[in-house]
This record gives sequence, structure tokens and C-alpha cells, in this order.
Amino acid sequence: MDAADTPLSSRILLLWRLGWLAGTGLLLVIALLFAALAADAPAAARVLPTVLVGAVGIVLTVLVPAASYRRWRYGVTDDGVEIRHGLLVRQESSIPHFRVQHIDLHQGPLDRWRGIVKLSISTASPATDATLPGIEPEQARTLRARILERAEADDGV
Amino acid sequence: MLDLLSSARQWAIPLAFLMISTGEVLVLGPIAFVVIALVVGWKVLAWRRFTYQIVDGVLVVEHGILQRARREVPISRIQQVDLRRRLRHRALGVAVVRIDTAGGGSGAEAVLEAIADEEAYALRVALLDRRGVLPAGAGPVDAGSATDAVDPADARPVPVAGPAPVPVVALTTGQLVVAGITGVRLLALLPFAAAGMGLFFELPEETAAGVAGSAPTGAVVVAVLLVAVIPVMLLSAIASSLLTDHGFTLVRVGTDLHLRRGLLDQREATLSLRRVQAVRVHQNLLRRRLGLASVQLQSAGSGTAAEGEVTRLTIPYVREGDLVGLLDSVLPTTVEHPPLVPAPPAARRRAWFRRVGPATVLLVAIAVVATLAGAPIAWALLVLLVPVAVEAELVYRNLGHVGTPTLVVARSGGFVRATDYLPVAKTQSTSLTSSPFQRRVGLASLQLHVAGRGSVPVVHDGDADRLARLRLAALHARVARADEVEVRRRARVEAAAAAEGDEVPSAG
Repeated sequence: MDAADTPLSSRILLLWRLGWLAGTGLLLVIALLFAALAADAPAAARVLPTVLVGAVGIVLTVLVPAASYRRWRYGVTDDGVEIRHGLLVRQESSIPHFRVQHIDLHQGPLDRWRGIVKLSISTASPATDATLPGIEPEQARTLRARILERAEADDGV
Repeated sequence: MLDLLSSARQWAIPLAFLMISTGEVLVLGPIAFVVIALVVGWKVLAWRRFTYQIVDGVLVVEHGILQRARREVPISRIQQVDLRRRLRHRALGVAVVRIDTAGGGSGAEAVLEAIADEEAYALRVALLDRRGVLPAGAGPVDAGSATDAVDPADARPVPVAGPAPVPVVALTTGQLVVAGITGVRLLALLPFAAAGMGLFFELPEETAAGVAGSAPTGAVVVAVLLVAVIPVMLLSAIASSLLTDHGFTLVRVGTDLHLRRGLLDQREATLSLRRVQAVRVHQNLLRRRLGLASVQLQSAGSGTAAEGEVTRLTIPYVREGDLVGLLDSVLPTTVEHPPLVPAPPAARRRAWFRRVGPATVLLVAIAVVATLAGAPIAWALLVLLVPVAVEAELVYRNLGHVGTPTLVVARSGGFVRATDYLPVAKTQSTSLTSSPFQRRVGLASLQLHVAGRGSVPVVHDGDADRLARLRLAALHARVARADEVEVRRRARVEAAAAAEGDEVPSAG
């Protein structure tokens, strides 16, 4: 409650993994295309890149979403909304309650399939980047109500 | 009438082209005449239908021939009134008046094409003066919040009808010439100069046989080109500076800034000081040597592309000595000038590594390839590392920031140094980022987000702990809370005033 300590919904993990898998698939297709084009190259030179791309892709697909999920934390404090995430480049964002302009809940088809919601907070600045990519719908509604309540209370008018 | 001119231009060219290209002037001539007559007739009708008037504190604009439109803009909601006069407008003694309101819809609330000059000025005075009175008066919304607000912006004089204008900046032609010569406008022509040089380097190989043994000739050609290119570059930089900024005057009227500039295409803009979000000061090496700077004000406009020239207002020539006074008069807080905290030494290694590293790899790779191809002279390219290293060192030396309770100053950049002045009261949100390299040496970068489009002020490569504290300070800042309260209070007052204006029109 006091700090950014809430994780995202674990249901988003599968979506992230699928995303990485799709990326790997795309690169594999490109690698295969090259292998098919370079027909006169020795067999090893044609197979090796494909295998390498596939192996690295799979390893990243297994490791990155999980690690990045572990790093994702958000929370509502007395002052505002705190978000911290990022595997390599770490980011800590804070949005004071009184700056919150509006909150969007967004659910794409894949989100609906997994039963999660994307929540984004907007301020008057277009540079504000405060999006929770996947939390449970019930939690999203509670969170929205809480932030808006605080935003209202803090408004002071 | 002006409408006629521009549409005549639109139509005449394709028609003339059509006539010439087909050669059947005799057939098309009458058709062209009929079309032109129709267009002219339509435009005259449109002009006759276009009317505007101020009725009980509401600006009413009516237009349209078949589909008629009537727009009512309560004067209390008007944020900006801009005047623009292109050459053709000036030939006819008219101006385009653009009227913007706070509701950030797309485009201007109303555009009055071709209003006679005196009328345009009178209209602007009428619109801005009445607007100025409303938000400051004890509006119908609680007066209590006004006393709570501790924003220093409140200490400004309350706008009253017809406050005396205070000159802020007025640039002479000489100053604009200097601004043109020392500014980036010069660099805009560099590609052309480079192309000219390239052309020259192509030449000797082709004509080498013709001008055999002409090494001196080559040198002469280079000299001639330099002598020819440099004046052209200088002249066009000066011309461009004069064209955009001739007669540059910035005047403060109450809480508004009035800007006037332009030689052929004259623009006059108003910008409410309340809407200034951040100030950025640019100085390249040359300007720093001369003690000059250019200053950019970023405002929270509604952010449409058409408004671009207004949301960012650039003062092209400011003497360093006048900088503090200028910042003081455009920023909502008093500008204290504590010395900037330099970046920790780790930032120097990072600046060097990030610039010299990739450049070295690239140049060595090129040299190796060239050597393999039989041109070991390419190793001479490594000389280019010198300016890169110089810039890296400059980048480190320019890095610095300071946070006071009311203001964050962040400086960065290499050959061109940029210093951001950001009132804490205007910070919308913050973001502290750190890459693995930064974390290893205890550095971080802090982004400070303000309203309006434009570059995001960033404190680069500061000490991570310091920046974390700065971030917390910005988050807790009471001035920011007061600013938000004030902005929302004004919005309500204006909305209430607008509603009142709609229901019970009262003579403003």
C-alpha cells in the first residue's frame, strides 16, 4: 500500500511469451529465406544461422518475459501512483494524484481471452508514460476508483 | 476580397497549363472564362455571407452559402488572438485573425480571413481586454481556493482592462543579422556547400587530362569555391533571419506576452504567461564565445499542428547579461541562480565511451576494409576522432543540474548547449531511468514531464541518489499542487462564465 509493491496479473506472462515467440518465428522465417536463397553455400553455413536464431529466440522467450514480469511493480501511495519496471533500462515513474486527468481501461481481444485489462493514466503532459499492461479487471476498476477518488480529494477545489 | 485572389491563383495555373498543353486555346478559352466567372461569383457570394460581430460578450461568426454556419464564441473563453499578414494581405491592408479558446479541439475556434488592419487591431483589443477581466475577478466559484494558492504566479498584477505594455525584447536589424550568422541557419546550407565541394572533387578526374599538371589550378578552384560559397551561406542565413524575425518585439501586457515579427509575412501572437511551461536556452560554441543565446518558450497550447508557431516561441537573440531578467519576466517563479551541480566523474567516462567508442569502431572498420582494398590512406580518417573527442568532453562539461524548491535547471549538449528552466510547479509527472551501464557507476537520468508538446526536459547522467531526491521533491512540491488547483479553478471560472454568457448574455 505504501510503495510500489503490487505485481501485474500473472496472466499477462503467456501473452508476453507469445509475443516473443511470434518475434522468434518471424526471424526464423527470414533466416530460412536466406538459407533457401544461398543454395550454393555449404550446408553448415546455411543451417547454423537458422539454428542459432531459433535457439536464442527460444531462450529469450523463456527468460525475458518472466524476468521482466518479476521487475514490474506498481502501487498507489499517499502522494500518487508509482510504477517501476524495466529489465535493462529501469524506469521509476511517479504521477502525483492531483495531476491525474483521466484513466483509460483498454481490453484487446487477446486481453479478453486472458481476462486482463490495460490501465493507463493520463496527465496534461503527453510525455507521461503510465500504463499498466495487464491487471485483473476487478482490480483495475478498484484501482481506477481509488486513484480518481484521491485525485478528486487532492484537487482542493 | 483576398479569398478571390488565392482561389484565382489556385485555378488559373492548372487552366493555363491545360490550355497551353492542348493547344486548343480557342475551345478552352470560353470554358475557362465561364469557370473563372463562376468561381469569382461563388467567392463574392461567400464573402457577402461571411459576417462577424460581438453581441453581449459573445463573438458571433456566420458564414456559408448553401450550408450556413453560425459560431458563437464567448469572449471569456478566448485564450489567444493571433494576427497574420502575408505579403498579399499587406498589399491590400488586411490581416488574418485567428481566435483560439482553451478547449483543445482541432484547429482554431474561428479564423477571420482578411479583416482590415485597424479593424483587426480593434477586434483584438476588444477580445483580449474583456477576456482578461474575467478569470482574475472573484468568479462565481469559491474565492477560498484563491487564498490557498501559494503559487508565486498569483503575485502577478491582476489583469485589468488596458494594462500598460512592458517591453521585454526588441531586436534591431543588426542583432538579427548577428543571430542569423551565428545560428543554425548557417548550417542549413551546409549540404549545398558540401554538394558544391563534391562537384569540384568530381571535376579534376574528368578534366584531369585537359588540365594536366594543374595542382595549383585545383587549389585555386577550392579557394574560389570557398570565397563564393561562404558569402552565399552568410547572406542567405542573414536573409532568412530577417525574413522571419524582422521587427521582432516582445511586449508584456498584463499576463500576456505579445509577439510581433516578420518582414514580408508578418505575425503577431499572444501567449498567456500562465501557459508557459518551460524555457530552453540554446547556445552553440560561437554564441557562447560572443555571450549570446536564443531562448525558446514552451507553452501548453492545445497542441494542434496549426498552432505550432505559437506553442513554441523563440527569441533568436538574447545577450547573456539579459538572460536572468528575461527568465524572470517569462517564468512564473523568480529565478534564483544557484550554481549548477556538475555531473559526477563517472559521467565523463560515459560521455567519452558513448561517443568515441562507436566512432572508433566505425572508422577502424572502414580503414581496415579500405586497406584490404588497397587504400591504406583511409587510416587518415582517424583524424575525425578529434572533433568527436572534443564533443565528448564538451558533453561532460556541459552536464549539470540544480533543483531549488521552485525551479529545476538542467543543462546538457555538446557543441550546442541547451539549458532547460523548468518550474517545479509545472511538472506533471517524473520518470527516473537507468541503464545497466548507468547503474554500475551510480548514475541515472530524470525525465520531467510538462504539459504541451515539445522536447521532454531531462537531467542526464546525474548522481542516482541526488536525482531520486529531486524526483521526490518534485512529487511533494506544494507549488505544483497549488498550480494545479489554480489551473482547475480558472477552468471552472471560465466554464461558469461561458455558461452564464450562453444563458444570460450580459454586456461585458
